[in-house]
Amino acid sequence: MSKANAVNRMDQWQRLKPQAIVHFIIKIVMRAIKEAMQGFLPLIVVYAAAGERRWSIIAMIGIGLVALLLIGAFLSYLKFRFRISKDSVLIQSGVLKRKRLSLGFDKIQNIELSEPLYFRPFGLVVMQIESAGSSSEEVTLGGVPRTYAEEIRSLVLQHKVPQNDHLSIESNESETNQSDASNQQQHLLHLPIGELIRFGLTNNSIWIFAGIGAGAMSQFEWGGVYYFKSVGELFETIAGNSPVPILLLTLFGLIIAVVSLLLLVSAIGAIIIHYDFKLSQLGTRLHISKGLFEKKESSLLIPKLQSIQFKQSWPAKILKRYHVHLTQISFSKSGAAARKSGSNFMIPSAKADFITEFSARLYPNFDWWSLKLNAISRLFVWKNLLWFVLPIALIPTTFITYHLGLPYGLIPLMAPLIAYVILRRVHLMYGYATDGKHGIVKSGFLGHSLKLFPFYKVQTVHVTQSPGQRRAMVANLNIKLAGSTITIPFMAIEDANQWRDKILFEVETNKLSWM
Amino acid sequence: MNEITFENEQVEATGLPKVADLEFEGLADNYARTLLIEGLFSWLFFIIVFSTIQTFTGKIGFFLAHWWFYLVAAIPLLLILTLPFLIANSRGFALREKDIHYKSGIVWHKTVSLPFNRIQHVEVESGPLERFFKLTTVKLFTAGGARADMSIPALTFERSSRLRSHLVEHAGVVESGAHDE
Repeated sequence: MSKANAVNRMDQWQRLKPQAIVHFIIKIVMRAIKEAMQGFLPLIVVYAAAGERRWSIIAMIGIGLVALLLIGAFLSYLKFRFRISKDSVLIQSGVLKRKRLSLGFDKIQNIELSEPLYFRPFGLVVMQIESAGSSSEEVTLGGVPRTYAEEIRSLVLQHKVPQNDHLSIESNESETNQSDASNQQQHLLHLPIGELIRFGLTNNSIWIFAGIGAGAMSQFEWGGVYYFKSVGELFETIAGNSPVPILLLTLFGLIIAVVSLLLLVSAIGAIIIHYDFKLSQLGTRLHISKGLFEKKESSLLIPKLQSIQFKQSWPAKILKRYHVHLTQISFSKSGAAARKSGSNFMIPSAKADFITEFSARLYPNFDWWSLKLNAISRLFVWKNLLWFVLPIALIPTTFITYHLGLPYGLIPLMAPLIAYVILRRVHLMYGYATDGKHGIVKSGFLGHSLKLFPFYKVQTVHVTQSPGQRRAMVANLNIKLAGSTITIPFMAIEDANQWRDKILFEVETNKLSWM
Repeated sequence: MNEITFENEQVEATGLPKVADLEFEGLADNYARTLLIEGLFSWLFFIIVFSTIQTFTGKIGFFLAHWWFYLVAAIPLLLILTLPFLIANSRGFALREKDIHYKSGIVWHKTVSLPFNRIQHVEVESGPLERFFKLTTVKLFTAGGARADMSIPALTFERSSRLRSHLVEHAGVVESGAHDE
């Protein structure tokens, strides 16, 4: 009854809360910055050309823009109406160009609630509705009361899950679980700040940040020149009357300082993004809430999960933590191309016992930790050395020998030696195992990642063999899932064939939907 | 080998149909000919570019004066004349009740296996040269990649339309079944 009431109440055109104007203002400003940056160029012309009255002119333009912004935001708020009918979300929007949109519940992939700082005092949230269609069909409702948004979400997602969808949780165990597990929220994980700092320290992306930082530095050319000049002077003053070791020490100290600064930034970033990280399960849905300034909530339907990945970078290895990535799918309009959208569904800094527990929850019949991982063939090392590293090393060898003579020419030939060590390590890190219905593939170099996937989610299987691989009875196996590809190189041919046959058997006999 | 042991290993290993034992059907007989003509066209294109540069700049006279240049130039022609037959022979497909397999590659043998119930859509293409030889290419798409996951060239019109309707029929049946459940 209450559900019917809710439907009736929602099934009429309604506005967002007035506070939504703030959301519209921010949206318009962001769009202006992103898309119309060059629109501000006239201001520079005015500044250069208007002489003494430039400031008053700029001020007037500024006031005009702000007024336009406020009016625009207000009108957008007035013209934005939404309605939740029995089976779809209807939206009317647009000031100059009217836009009408209806989104069927069955096309809705996910509803994400986020709570920006400016909405928090009012208990409002931003509702982002992700559809299975193209990105132009994505809908944002900024300024909906939290309880109301949650009501809508449960309505939509309940509709989404048909009665016997628990089938898709792929286990016979789920039937017994279903009755008590489906209707109550189970809390799976809550991360304290200490764990978030650990994540910040072990996250690979700090090094990407470092790259971006260097790139940004080069943007501020004059500033950079000044900076480097002063650093150069610093060195000169030190080097001028100091021996070389002190110079090296300073350099070393500088590197340490930069690295620790990066780590600090990364740790703070991790706390801001993942603050109060909570993972819970409600029926077939996983639910994450996190965020310091903007509280983000996202959920994922377990049956839509394509694969899980447990990643452990080398710093994470030292701290004994894993980062869990869950891969989902979503479709572009053509239906053919799948892109990854679940990249934001990540569980940071999980301990080993959580990993086993979590994978047992998703794949109850797959005890991968009790399986022995098979190694790939050693040929992997030799073939890569012979066909890739050696030819590449030979080019500078011949070049340098020609110009400088033999002893120098041999230097590039050190490369294969180093490459051998690296390749040997990569070779040792590879591992694969199956229980006939699921696969696990391990790979890595310093750290490693474990990829788990049920065979019935697979799209296509490729087996490739070079002449050398044919002689050695090994093959490369390529497994394509929606959104990711898993490769096992130099796998024993009978294993590759067995995997292929089993995967095809599972795909063709398993009645569960892969989507 | 270092196998994982689980109870019904033996039964499953022998019981499962094996892709490795499949017999592959060849493609159209005139496929090699189309590849050959394609190759000759690109060869012709390079010759034209080459001689244009020569007539307008005269820079290439240096090459023409050396015997090894002709040797280097002859190698692509040799490949164009021989490879099409090897390529055409190496490619083929096999249909089973529930999946389709396509093999290719002269040096690197590759076999792609695609179950019918993962097909998103099927395209049938025919380029100008293919049309001249009355051939088509059938492309199969899954959710696994943005491009075609399998494209089977050199099928006669009759064969490709038969294949297409077979695929669409099976893809449709399984797909709608999975949805209606």
